[in-house]
Amino acid sequence: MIYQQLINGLMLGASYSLVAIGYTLIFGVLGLLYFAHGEVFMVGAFVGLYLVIHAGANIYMALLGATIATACLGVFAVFAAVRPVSKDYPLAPLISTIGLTIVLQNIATYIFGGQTVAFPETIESILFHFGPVTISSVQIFTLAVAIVLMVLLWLFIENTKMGRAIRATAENHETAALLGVNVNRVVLVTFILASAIAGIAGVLDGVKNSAISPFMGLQVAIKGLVVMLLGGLGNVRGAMVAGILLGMIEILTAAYLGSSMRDFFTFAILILILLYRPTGLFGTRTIEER
Amino acid sequence: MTVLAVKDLHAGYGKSEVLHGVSLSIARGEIVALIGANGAGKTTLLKTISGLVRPTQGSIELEGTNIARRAAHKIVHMGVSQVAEGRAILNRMTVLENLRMGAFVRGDPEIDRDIQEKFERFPALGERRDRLAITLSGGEQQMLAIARALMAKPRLLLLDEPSLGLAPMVVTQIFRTLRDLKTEGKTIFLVEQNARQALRIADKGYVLERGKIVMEDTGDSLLDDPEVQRTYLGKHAA
Repeated sequence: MIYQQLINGLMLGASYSLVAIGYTLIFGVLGLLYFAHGEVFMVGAFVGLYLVIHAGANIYMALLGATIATACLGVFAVFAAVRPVSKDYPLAPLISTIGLTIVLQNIATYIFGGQTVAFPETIESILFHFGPVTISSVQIFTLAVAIVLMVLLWLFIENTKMGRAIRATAENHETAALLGVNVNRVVLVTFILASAIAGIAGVLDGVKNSAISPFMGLQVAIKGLVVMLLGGLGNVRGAMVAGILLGMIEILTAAYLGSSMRDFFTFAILILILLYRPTGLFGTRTIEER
Repeated sequence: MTVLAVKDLHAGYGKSEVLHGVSLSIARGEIVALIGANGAGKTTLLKTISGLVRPTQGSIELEGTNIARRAAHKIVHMGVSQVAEGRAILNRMTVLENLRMGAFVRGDPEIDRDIQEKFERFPALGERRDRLAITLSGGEQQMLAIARALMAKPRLLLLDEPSLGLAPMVVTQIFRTLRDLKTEGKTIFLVEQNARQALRIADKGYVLERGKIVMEDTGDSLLDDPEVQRTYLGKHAA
């Protein structure tokens, strides 16, 4: 029983991690709590769904299509809600991206209706039994995609020139600019990366839970936020680990204490972190340090 | 040959103008020092040259090309590197990664060799190459900031108060490094409150007061000037 729950927790946590990585990347380079991130996730899921239903796409095409669509959405967000607002008012981009959230949610409701929509089966569901643990082919696929994505992102951030530029920008815009980094371009690349990852996470969520709705973004956004705080603001590795941790905690609480206790624990953890460990579990930095 | 020529530069923040028509020039291979009190506009001048502050009037010519109002990262690509005030190193990167970031504008294959050369010049950095920069001492951080700026192979090196907040022995070491760099043919614009040390190594010095250049002479002549001695060197006329 416990092993099965840990596996389930890992599955849930991996999708939290993917969303939180985007949050934390954007928070890192801009110090911005990017409100529309949950909606990007939702758009990814719906683009995947439409490609499967109306274009007969397989899961890989659906993932690719959602990646491209949400990457474009990332570019749009930068030009519509980030660059035009004044840098002199730190709250301005927060407000404008909340606006973007509302716009995206309403467009989705208008196009797809307000109901939960079923996501068709795109991967043949085969159950594998390993002793007491049962894992489906769908779960293995979604987990594999999530892990590969995280490893690739980690290698990108750590070892490439653009990755170093992102980290330098996250530390200090002026310092990065004085080393020849085009900060505007770094911000754009960061939004593209974060949005594409969220889009993929959206499709994976649809595949795994076989249902999506235009309002799924909020729940995801809040969980992503908790994970970001847990992992430390702007800490990509922290977000990866904290996502999986939160997934496990939620599943274990639901299994042993009842599912009504699930969110209670999530937010209790959030409050405890904010009170006693505001730099996150992996202690990076505080907001003041920026 | 003139590397940098600043002419009638006006700049500031919002509506408050800090620089009221600053002109100066720096020739190749020179160390030029700019001294002045707190709030005279020294840092603003450097930030305007490096593109972080947009001038409202005037020109900044780098070897004949006007770079005023260009984006900061483009100016770095054109060959101006700045060691910012307060050792703006990247705390969460290792010493090695900081040096690699210094070479961000370069794409040639000799970056690794140049990093080795920096480790030879600053052995303390070589010993700590894989440590996070935040764990270095203040002096080591300043060495790292200078080494990192040199990694870009700049035509002009700007330094904003490199001796600020450092122990006297470290300060001596930094000024020795700057003199070595001059011997190697580097062009340096040095902004300092430590007027005595700065003017000693400078070919030419400028005094900035309330956003205007009020004096211009060789480093030695400024050191002997009674006005400079009274205001910036703490000597009182007998």
